[in-house]
Amino acid sequence: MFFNSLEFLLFLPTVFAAYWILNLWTDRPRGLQVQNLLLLVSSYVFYGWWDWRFLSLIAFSTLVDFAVGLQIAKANAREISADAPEEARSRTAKRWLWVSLVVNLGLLGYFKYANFFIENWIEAWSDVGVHMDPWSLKVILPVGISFYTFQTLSYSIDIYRRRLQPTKNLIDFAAFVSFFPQLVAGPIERASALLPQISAQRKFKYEEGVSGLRLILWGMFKKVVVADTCAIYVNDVFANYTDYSGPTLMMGAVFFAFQIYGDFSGYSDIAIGTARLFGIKLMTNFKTPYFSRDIAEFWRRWHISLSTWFRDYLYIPLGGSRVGKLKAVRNTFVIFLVSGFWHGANWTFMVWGLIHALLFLPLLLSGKNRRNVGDIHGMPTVRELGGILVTFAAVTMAWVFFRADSIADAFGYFGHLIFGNGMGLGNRMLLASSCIGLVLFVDAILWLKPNILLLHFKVVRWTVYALGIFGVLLAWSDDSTQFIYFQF
Amino acid sequence: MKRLIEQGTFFFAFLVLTAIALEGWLHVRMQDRRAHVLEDWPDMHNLEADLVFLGNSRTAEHLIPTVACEGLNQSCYNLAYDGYSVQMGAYRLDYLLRNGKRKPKFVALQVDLSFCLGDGTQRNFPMKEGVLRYFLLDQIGINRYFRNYANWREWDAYVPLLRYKGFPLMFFKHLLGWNRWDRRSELGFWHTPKDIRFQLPEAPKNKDVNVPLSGIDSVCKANDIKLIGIIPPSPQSSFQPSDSALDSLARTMEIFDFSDLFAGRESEFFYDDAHFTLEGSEIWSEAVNARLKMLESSAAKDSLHFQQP
Repeated sequence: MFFNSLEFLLFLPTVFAAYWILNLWTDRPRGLQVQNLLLLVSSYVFYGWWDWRFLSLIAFSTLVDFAVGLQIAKANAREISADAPEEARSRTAKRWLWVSLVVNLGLLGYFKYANFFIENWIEAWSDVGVHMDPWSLKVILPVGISFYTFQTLSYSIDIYRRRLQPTKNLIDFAAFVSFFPQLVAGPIERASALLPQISAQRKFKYEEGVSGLRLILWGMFKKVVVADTCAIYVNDVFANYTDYSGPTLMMGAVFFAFQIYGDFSGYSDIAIGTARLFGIKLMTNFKTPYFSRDIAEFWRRWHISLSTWFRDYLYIPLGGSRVGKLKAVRNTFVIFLVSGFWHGANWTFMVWGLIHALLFLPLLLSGKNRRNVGDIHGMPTVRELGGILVTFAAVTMAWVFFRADSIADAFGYFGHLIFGNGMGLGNRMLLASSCIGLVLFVDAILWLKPNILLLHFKVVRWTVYALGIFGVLLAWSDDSTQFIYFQF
Repeated sequence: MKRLIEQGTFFFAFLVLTAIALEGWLHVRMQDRRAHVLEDWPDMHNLEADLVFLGNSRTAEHLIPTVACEGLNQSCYNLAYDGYSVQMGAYRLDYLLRNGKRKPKFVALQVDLSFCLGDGTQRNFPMKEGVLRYFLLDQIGINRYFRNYANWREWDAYVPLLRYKGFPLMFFKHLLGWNRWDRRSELGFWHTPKDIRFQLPEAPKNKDVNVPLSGIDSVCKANDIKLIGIIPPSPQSSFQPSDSALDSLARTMEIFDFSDLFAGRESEFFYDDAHFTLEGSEIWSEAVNARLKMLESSAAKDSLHFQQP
């Protein structure tokens, strides 16, 4: 089920109503369990709407990590004394952790990467003159597999590191893994943040509900109005880049930058807003990333749940930046390449990751990677504005590799951008440019946090909401595209 | 929760009122809708034509009546409409019968798949341009002709603003009171230029399905109008109905099949995979003219005078 579908428009109020009616009995024995069971069933319906067969994968991953979590905790308790240092690890626990790693990464590898490796294997042999018949596994990539496997993995790893106690309640754990607002495209939540909220009694708060609805509307606006409008031009420009002029290709890349931002941050906003309706707080996934002053700041503001996941479970275990320069450089390349590969089984994503690593490297080597950590106060300086523009240009350039079908296409795109002649999109880009202007305007408000007095008046707020709803309604098309990050 | 329900209800009422206010504004900006109707469909009022052509852009833009009817003893009129499919053809014929000065004697109907099957949806711009404004109040009785469209939903038509779903520019244009795109041609950005690029389709579609005529055949029969089927040139015959569908059509009307007219020279006469260059249009119109002349002479031989007294 997609957030931008009619089914979801009926599904959400139904589950919302049932959920809070059940909340009336959560102070009774098993009341909370029934409410969590409803969350679990709703989440499975939400996912199964796309393809019910793949529910078995979620269920399998859930059962494995539930059992592994308990076993790791048991082994830790048996083999490590309470006053042992934090780094102490149990050998049995390690074996159990391997079970979780093999199962989750195995599922991910089989469904997402098997065909990529087979194709490259055959191609590599054909390069040395050994020709093999092309073949591939007939597998469909299950929606959201990269997200929920990372979520379950983090649960087992945190228990192994003794930072989390396992839950003994299977329903709570299954609801945590499959919580429908963030099941298919994140934010990738940590068990330490989400599981306690699911295990505790929730209370409806009016302010939370309203802010949730506001986030849902803004997310829908970004997806339906901004991303889908940009997509019309992006699809045309990237499919026929040889026909278009340099400035048009440049605009095509900018449109894609806003398409993917509108699409993915829109999804995250809807997810966070929906969770708030159920009294559950999810982590922020985007913080006005295109106002970043350097590439390091960009990664602290873009897909935060994934970048912090990689930081905590890959970068820091490898030594992070607090090792020798050479190792720090290695770690940087590892994390960006893995991040690229996480997005999809295509060399284009690897190159995208590589470009980001190369952009990050000067900051790392000069020790300036944490120069722009805090939020900006007041108006930005000219230097900061320059940094924002340069960072945006670099990120947009990298997006071309992300969007192109192949590396050759990406280079072809740049070749035509610099040397090519062709037609322009002309006035057709007006609508998409207006949408981008609008999203930048709102993001600038979120970034600079000015106190807009007018918004204190209810009638002004409601008018803005109504216009937002009409915008979504008018831009909504029966053949609206699905969210880009579903394919990851 | 009580407060949320309460405020939600108020907001919903506010939303509906705002939507109605916007509809009101649309109405004011497009005052005298009846005038707009006449403006949109002027060709059918008091029309006197013996032969009318019905079809979509392939006929509207490329069948040149002065060439196609040259030397005939008939007055001709091209009633085809850019962007439409057969439902609108049926509607325009019905409208003509009700509002024309006299009934036509012949209807030449484009019977290729691009028109008769279309995709039964209301996605393209010209179509929305022509009919959107009439849906809400079902002016000119237009809605029933669209009910059998694949994505027709009653509530899309009758709920305020919802019928503009997917066409935001059209909404703003109507809100500004601009009736047609070309009204503001000096502000070219409202106009979507055509993507001029010819690509030969990979394989002919030739769908083996019946070619729906949306009742045009029975209307013609009831009004004693002779129906002729015209299949315009198609690259690799991609819009040509299958042989079985053609056989079935041929039992109800005479078919002029020009699907192979440009075979092997597609890139010379097509500028995209459906439309022709000016030279292509002229060649096709001449070919139609030749067939009409043959029809006229054979009708004369059979003493079924092609030209009515």
